[in-house]
Amino acid sequence: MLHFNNLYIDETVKNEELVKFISEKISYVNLHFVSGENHPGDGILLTRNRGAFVKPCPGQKGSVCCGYWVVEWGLGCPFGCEYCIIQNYTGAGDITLFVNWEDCKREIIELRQKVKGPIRLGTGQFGDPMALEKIYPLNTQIIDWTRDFEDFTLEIKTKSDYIEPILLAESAKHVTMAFSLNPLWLIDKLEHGAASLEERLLAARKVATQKNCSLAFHFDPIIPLANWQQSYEEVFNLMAAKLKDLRVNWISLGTFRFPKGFQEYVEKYHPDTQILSEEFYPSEDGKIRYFRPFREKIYNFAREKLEKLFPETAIYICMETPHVWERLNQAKFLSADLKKLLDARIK
Amino acid sequence: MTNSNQKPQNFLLPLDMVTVSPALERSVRQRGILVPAIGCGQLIIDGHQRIKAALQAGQSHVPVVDIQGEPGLLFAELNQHRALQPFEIVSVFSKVPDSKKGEFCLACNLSTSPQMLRLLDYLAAEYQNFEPQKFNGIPMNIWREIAHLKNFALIKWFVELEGTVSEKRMTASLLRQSDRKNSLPEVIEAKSAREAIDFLNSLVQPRRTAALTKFQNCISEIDIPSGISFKIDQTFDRPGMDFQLHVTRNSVKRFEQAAEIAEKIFAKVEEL
Repeated sequence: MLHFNNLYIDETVKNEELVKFISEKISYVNLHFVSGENHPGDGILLTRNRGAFVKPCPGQKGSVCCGYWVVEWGLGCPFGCEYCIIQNYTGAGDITLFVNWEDCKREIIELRQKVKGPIRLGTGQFGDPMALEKIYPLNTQIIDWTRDFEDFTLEIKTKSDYIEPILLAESAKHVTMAFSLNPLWLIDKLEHGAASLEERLLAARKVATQKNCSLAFHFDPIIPLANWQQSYEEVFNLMAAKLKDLRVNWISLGTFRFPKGFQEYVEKYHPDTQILSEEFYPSEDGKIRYFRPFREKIYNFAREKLEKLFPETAIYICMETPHVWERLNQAKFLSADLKKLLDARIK
Repeated sequence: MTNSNQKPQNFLLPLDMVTVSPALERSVRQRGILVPAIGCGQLIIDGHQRIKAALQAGQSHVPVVDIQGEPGLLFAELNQHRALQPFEIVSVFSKVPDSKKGEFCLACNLSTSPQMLRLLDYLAAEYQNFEPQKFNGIPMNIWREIAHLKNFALIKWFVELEGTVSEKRMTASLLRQSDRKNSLPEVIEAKSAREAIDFLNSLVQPRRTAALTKFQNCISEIDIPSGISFKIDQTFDRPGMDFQLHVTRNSVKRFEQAAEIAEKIFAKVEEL
């Protein structure tokens, strides 16, 4: 059971059924009634989303973006991944959940009506959705709301191995179950509280074979510490062995990057961390990244290995500059090209 | 709060480290102390410069307002309007009880991290062994950068290093990065901040340094005609080169020459 020091409930939602449901599923020390969306800190806040639930993915200006749609259900994650920027935006372990799901449902239906052509909608942008699904079963609902949508996939990204809601769904053919992966020793070292590599791959196999849903994998962030080539190649080979004959829609690659100020945050909470031990330089979009030729080396290595093992899968790079794409592809490659590549996978 | 005319004897700051401007000395000599110093019991906690000026002017008694509280915290509170000098912070820090040290750091806008507390402990014990000008010439934001260093010999080396504030800031930043990479040696031989920057750059940025060296070697091997100049992004974030050509009606061939030069550089420096 997830435990919080404080449960904050926005006055405007205190009588909602969902608020009662969540309150019963967690343990907490103090209960406070508050006003608005601002998290007071050190706990969980249940409130209304006063803005939009469904938004275009907030890719960085200057990056090649894939035209993804995201559901902003709140913010926060119970996992304590050392590299994760979400904890920089919230206090460590703080969670905000929006409970006005009727608006979320309406916006998702409107999105399908408004947008012609394929839609890739994801719930993993603002925290690990499956890590919270037991107390906040929004993915279960979205799977149901969207089951008759054409040309559509709901991507559910996780570092957990919790797949029960998908297994219990009436239909999950429109679901792309996505797992973030890293070498086991990095998971043990950096992804505090998340499932092991083996557990994630087993969950992937189970959900794909039992529910016929598609899979996706995200190597993001890739963290090139000692023997990184060997470590990542072992993961690629393990994936190929465990996922034989299963449909993998896409695999993304992204090297560790962060905004200015994040280093101080990491050093405060994880003073012995090794994730800052590489060379970092500011990019044109303001993010701080590894030395650009080194990033290219990482992408070339990973893409070459993965393309051999998963020839039918779209291997793409997330949040990279057009310069890097051009050098990797030896031709210009823009956001529209990336969107086309990924959209083709769900047709 | 009481007012009195005292013969001051105990000071929170070491009076020999306090400097008095000629203007203040002149003013105190002519008019005496216009704004009373502040004491906490028998300890003077604020007004050190005025009192030093008065003593230098031969005045043995000075007006003092007595207030109650923890002297170190009161000192920080009374000086919120200015940036404290490093010697002021560390000398007061050494007199604040352990239970109040965190509060004192926050009042001085310093972090309460274990690294910062460790640094302040070290400096409180050692600051009088440093050359005052060099010690006080390092702003607190640079001290923050080097707070993570566990090797106190490197801190001593850093304080004594010759260089401008800007060079020292760069050096501190590179020391921090090098420490993150676990590549920091026990001893650095550099005598100036400039030398230290070059040395630390090669430790902290080996990929960039290697690429830049390759580029510079390549350039030195190519005979570049006048009228052609170019530059690269020194961090290599943006690949390629910016060329500038000056072309006259008699030197249109420079376009071709520039293209040949670009081909040669690209062939040798794949990072571009």
